[in-house]
Amino acid sequence: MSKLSVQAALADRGVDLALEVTAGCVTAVVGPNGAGKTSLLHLVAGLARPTSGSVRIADREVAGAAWVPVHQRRVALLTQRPALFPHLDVLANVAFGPRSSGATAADARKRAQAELEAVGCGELASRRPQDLSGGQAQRVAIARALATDPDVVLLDEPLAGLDVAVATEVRHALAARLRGRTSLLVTHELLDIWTIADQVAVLEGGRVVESGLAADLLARPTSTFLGRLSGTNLFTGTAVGDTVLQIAPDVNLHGLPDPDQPLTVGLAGLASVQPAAVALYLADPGGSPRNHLAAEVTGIEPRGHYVRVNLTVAGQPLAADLTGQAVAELALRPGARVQAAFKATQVRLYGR
Amino acid sequence: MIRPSLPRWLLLPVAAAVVFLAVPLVALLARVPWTRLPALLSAPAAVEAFWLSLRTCAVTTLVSLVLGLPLALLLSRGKGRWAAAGRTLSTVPMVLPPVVAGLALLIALGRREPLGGWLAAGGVDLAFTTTAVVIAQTFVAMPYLVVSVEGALRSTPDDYAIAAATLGASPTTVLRRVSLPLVAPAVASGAALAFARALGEFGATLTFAGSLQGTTRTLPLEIYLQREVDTDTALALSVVLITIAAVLVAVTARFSRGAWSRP
Repeated sequence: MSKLSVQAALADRGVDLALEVTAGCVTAVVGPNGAGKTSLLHLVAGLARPTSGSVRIADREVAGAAWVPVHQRRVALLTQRPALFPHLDVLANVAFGPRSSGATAADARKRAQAELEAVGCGELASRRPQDLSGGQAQRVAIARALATDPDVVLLDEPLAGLDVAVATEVRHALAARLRGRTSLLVTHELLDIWTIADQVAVLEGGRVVESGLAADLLARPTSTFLGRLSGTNLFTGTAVGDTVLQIAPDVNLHGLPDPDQPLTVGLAGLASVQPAAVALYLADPGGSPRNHLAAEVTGIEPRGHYVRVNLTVAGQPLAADLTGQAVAELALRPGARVQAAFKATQVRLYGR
Repeated sequence: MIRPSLPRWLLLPVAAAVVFLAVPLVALLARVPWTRLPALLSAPAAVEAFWLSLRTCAVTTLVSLVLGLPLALLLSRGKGRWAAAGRTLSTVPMVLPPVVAGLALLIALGRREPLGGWLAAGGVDLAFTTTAVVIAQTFVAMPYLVVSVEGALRSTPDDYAIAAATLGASPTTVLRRVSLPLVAPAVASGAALAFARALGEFGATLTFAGSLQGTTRTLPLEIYLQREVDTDTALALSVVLITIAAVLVAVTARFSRGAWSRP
């Protein structure tokens, strides 16, 4: 278990980051392109030298007054490209780390085989990297990164290059293997945060603008955090059926379960719905939409061709995108009580 | 996929080029006294020249690897003015007329020159020695290895070395187990090219090392010497050089095909 603490600037890249990662926690790093996410990983890995400040891993200063080179930092780095060594077979790739840190050939091979089994790639040991599929290669890369028992695991959009179905598989492998390891995970995916992360740090313009527990941010998403997830509405609650999530006593959301991560009755779940899918009525409309919830308007912001109406539903925020005309016809203003309606087919439900 | 075809008239210059390249070789091979080949090649002067060439070229290739690989590694990382200067310096001998290269070596290391004189005073006398042959060959052949390996290093993505370092590999381990194995095909073909260039070396060797049978008279020098007095021996030795060259070309082609495909 090792704590990670970054308090460092890269003047030439306009980056000045302050971040504490609790030992054993996976922190999702979100933010727009150029926000400094990759710079953060480079600072921790030793691929960038801070112009001021310091980086500490497990109370050891690795950058700042001291300088510890990459290979002595005990930091694993996983990127979009698996970068498996093409001249070594899969087993030798995974054994490379233990070998480099002084393990005997036999011990290194044994460890490598165990790591491969742990990501479900045990039978690929004698293959060449060239003969692996994208998902297999990335899982082997995970095994290789973890075979060194790193103090910190850095992941730079490790699932970005994969097909959706393959990404789901690799995400599960990653979630299982990262549990309890101090990690930074750069991602744009809500699912990654929901499935893998314990904490979230939001980066913008080279600064950490927000950080907190993933569970808190998902339950009460702030506008900064939501802005990074392209404005998806999120609800957390408890599954009370295969397609029903209870978000407050007597308030149920109907939706379609995610095929790869269905709800489990009695356990926590997450619902997402796009603001554009939400319609507002002055009275309960009846009709086909499964979801109609009593809501209160908290704010109205014009956004060019549409208007973003912010509401609260059972204590959780909800955004609806309407035309200016609709807002005028309904005479919406903060404090107004309305009915928010959306079809169950517009709601995606995720289990743990 | 069928690619749009090339114009038919292209066959005309192509035929001319093939004839131009093939005629001298065919003519030479036609004149070789094949039946007397064993006898001609077992003459003492021929045998000595052959082994001298083989020995010096092997040493040249080795020295080129020992000195050229580090140079290629450094140049592949280099940016800016100094790297450009280093790159120019290491490629100039490739395009320098060999006789000029020999002259430059003579002026630098000759017995009556400052550096050569200083070496001679220390008991190191290079003139007309086999060492001088190796120096001349290395001077003109090493750049082929450097250029070949540097190009391969430059086109290797950084993330292999980065991955190796994050896995705990020291710079020496990264070099030994990742960077060099990744460019192994280029090292092999570069070494073959350097060997071939050294084998054909004539001008610089003659100018700097002279032509002393058994000591500095390599195959090309022997062929040049025999060309007028004993054409048959010259032709027989030429067959030997052509054979070695053909083998080296095949080796080089094999290794450039066998390059690691990127996963």
